[in-house]
Amino acid sequence: MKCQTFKKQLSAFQDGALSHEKIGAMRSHLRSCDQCRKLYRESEAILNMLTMLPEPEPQPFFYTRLKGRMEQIPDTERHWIQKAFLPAMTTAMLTLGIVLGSMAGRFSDTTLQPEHDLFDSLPLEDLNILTEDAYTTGYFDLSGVYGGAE
Amino acid sequence: MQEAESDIQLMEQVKAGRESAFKELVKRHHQSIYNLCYRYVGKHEDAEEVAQDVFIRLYRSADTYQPTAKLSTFLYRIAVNLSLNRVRDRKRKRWMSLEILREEKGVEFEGSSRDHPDVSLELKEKQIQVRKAIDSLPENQRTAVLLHRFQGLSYEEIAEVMDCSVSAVEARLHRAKLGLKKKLKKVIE
Repeated sequence: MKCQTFKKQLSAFQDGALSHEKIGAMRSHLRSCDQCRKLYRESEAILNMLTMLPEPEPQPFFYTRLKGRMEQIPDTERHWIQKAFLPAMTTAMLTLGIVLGSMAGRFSDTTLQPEHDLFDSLPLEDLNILTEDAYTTGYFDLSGVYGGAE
Repeated sequence: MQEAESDIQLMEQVKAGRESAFKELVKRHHQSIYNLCYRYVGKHEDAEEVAQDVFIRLYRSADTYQPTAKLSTFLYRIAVNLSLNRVRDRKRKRWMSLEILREEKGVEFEGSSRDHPDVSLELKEKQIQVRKAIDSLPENQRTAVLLHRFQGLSYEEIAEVMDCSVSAVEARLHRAKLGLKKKLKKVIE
């Protein structure tokens, strides 16, 4: 193994993140290279210094204080309200929407007036003065209105 | 004897509104989360507050939580983000406060004096130097070091928490060690 490779893998070697094969190669190089061995010892000394830091201990009754804080936060209450009422509100809105929709449907009748309504709208005098052309025109008009022509 | 329920099973119960399940999750994880928060913020009161924030977030996210990763990974991710936010907020306010002066005198390190009152002055000084060296690292490198060296997470677990590749974790740890070596070489010698 070259020193360059050793230096590149040193961090992973110290972290125990190398394969068994690579660990073997690293150890073998350590035995044979003074410079890399010195580098390894310096790195180990740095990592050992990290263990100097004391282990922090949380205060007891952490959950009690956590719970107390959660009970004071308005958002928590809102969360519970949402959990309880949101499904009911959704159902009520859907029901209202269906009812309103069906009611609106009754007033949106776009179907054509029956025949007698159409003729009722024309004054009798207009019917009397119809020429042949006018009759034909009227016939086609009627066909168009009733959607009859295939 | 009944087998302990898994974190995922407990989260399902939290979703259903069972407080006892939430309490059990807090009991299982609060030590490690508190430790991590403390490593970032350096004060017990702040660490406790951030740790509480982590579990409040967990509780609020119960409805949408998906067990795609370990719960501890999810918790660590929240803890890292909230801790970094707290550190950034404090840095913004620092120039107005006397904290800078206290830190320069080496008084701002309550951990060692509170937890180990019999620790020698020399050791306390070294602890302050180590703490400063870690705090001086860029955020990504500091996070990788804290998760690996203090929380014992593997490269793969760190990659999940930090949402990066394993090779990125390796690179960050490598650079972090070079940075620490530079800062602490005089302390060793």
